[in-house]
Amino acid sequence: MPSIRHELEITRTARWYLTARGAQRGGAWGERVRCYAALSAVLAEHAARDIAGRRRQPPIQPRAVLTKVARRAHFASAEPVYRRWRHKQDGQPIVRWAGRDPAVKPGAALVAEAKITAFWPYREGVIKVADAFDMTPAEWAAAYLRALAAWAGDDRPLAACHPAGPPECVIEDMAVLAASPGRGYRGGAMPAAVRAARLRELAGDVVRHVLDDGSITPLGAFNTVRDEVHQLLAEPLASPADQVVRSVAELSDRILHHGDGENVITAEQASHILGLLDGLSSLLAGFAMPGQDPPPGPAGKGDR
Amino acid sequence: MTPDALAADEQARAAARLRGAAEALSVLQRRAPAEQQRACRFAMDLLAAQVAAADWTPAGLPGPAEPAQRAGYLVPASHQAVLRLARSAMMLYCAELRIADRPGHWDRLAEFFARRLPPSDPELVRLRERATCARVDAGDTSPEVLNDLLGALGFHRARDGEDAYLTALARANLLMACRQRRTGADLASSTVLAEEEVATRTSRYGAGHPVTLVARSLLTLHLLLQAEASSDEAERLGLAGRALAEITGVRAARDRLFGVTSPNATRSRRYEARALLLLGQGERARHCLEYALAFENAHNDGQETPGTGQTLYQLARVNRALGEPGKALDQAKRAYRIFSRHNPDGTSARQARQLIGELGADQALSLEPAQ
Repeated sequence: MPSIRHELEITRTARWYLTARGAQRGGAWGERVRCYAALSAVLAEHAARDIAGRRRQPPIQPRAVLTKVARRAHFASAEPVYRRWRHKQDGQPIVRWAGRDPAVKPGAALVAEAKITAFWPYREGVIKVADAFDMTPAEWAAAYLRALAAWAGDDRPLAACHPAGPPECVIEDMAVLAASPGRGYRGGAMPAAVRAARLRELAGDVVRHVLDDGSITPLGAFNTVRDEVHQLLAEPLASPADQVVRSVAELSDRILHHGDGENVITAEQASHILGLLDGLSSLLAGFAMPGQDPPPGPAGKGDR
Repeated sequence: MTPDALAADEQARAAARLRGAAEALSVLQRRAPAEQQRACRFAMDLLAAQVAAADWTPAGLPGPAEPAQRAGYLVPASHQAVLRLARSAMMLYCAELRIADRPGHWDRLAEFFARRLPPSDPELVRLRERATCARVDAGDTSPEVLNDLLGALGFHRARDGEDAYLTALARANLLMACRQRRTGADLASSTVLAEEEVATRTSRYGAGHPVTLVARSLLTLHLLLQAEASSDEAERLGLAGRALAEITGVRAARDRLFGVTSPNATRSRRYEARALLLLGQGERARHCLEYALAFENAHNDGQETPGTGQTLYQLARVNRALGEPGKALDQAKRAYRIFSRHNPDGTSARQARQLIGELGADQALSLEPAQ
């Protein structure tokens, strides 16, 4: 089964990014970076004009963005910028990320690509750590969404640029994470595609919280969606040992905090569980103290 | 694009990679202490390999696990991404440091960046605030500490606004320090502040958001302390009942969010037990703490942490109330041993020592021949 890292490294956007960064002809990548930087400067100027305070970053939708970017990047006209992000990509050393769909206007294609390339190194940092520590899908999502919040906090005007929200690579990445619990996930009736769609919405919520409150930390922004992320990606039935821990906790809490008249457990059930626990204790002793023989089971119960 | 501009872009990307790595490493703070230590060394390897000209020894952090292999574009030590990664590394490093030793390390880290950043840099202010919180954790609630926390609160109020996230965190930090002082006036006023904080966070983030749960948990602690200090039985029972209702909700939410063996779920169980003891339900309190201890051991792989000490200390109190001084004394001694290893001059060690003294006196009294 391929690892999450492997799957994230072969998404369509990951392959595009690798090819684009490697394009040497005519300094193609450098010229693109020049346009992204110009876009950031245009948006920062726009944000500085509009912003009422430090707290909330309203959405930004600058008009004639290609012309402004061209001017800011000191191109003689808007034509070189337009050519890079129009839907006809013939002869371009780097094909635009948005593909050849004429419905995607050049300005929108530039913004989408700028968001992706700005977020990409944050994503790389997450992949390096998460893979090294063999994170669970829920931990991967936590790390990813925290890094997404960090990106949005570091570059609020770009995150707020229409359509305000995360870079579009999040769609593919969330699909990878949503599919990953499938390896041991037996309890969730929700199909991976539905989980992915919900994770995308939650990623949007994380960015929205950062745009609403400039002081919120990445952890604070992630915490707003933590509960649901955990429910979507936790593997409740992955390990019987985990189930025992959870059930023991649930049962003990219900016994300790039961309501008046509530019958949490019958005497017969209690006696049955006690018997099982006796046997389980003997079995577990061998694991808890490796190298030692498990102690003998309770008298009279050995052959059951 | 000029080579210089391209190099600047590459450097910004290297910084962003560190930023992403810092967030991912912070997720590992929920793992067992041994894993946190490994994560800390990983962070140090990143800092050593990718930050320009910085010797991390004076910053209070451990050395890298492997000799630095520098490659690519180096990020200046004054960059905010470096500060945040170093901060994550320190939080992970704390898993292996005694509570009493942590303030010194945080102070060194803050000084390291104070030499590189302007005093009003918001990240530096937050780092100093964190260093002050480490002092509070170690039992220092001196006027200087309270002043520093008040200063941080003022900074966030002015910069971010009254109901901003960081302002709420700064208010909570101040509340914790006030609570630690444990004088009657401080307790009463900080309970009112804690109630306000819960209301603010609930309306802004919802009752189940982890940041609201922290405020609710803090409110519970204030209620418990007030109840424990009260000589009026009706008031004591009222406060304890309120505390139990609140913390049971918090504990259920934390079980769901972080898992039943997580440290903050265990802390909630300890508070539940304290409330139960005040309500005269000693047996239930004992069971609650025994489970808390079992979950704590499961989380820490049997390693004794200050949290284990707290659970043992509460168990000792419960067993004393249930008329089992022998058990109570054993548990109080174990708690004291843990506390004195982590923070010999701290409040917890002092309380455990006092309990041992009282239990010794109880035992001596019970051995005296009847008059």
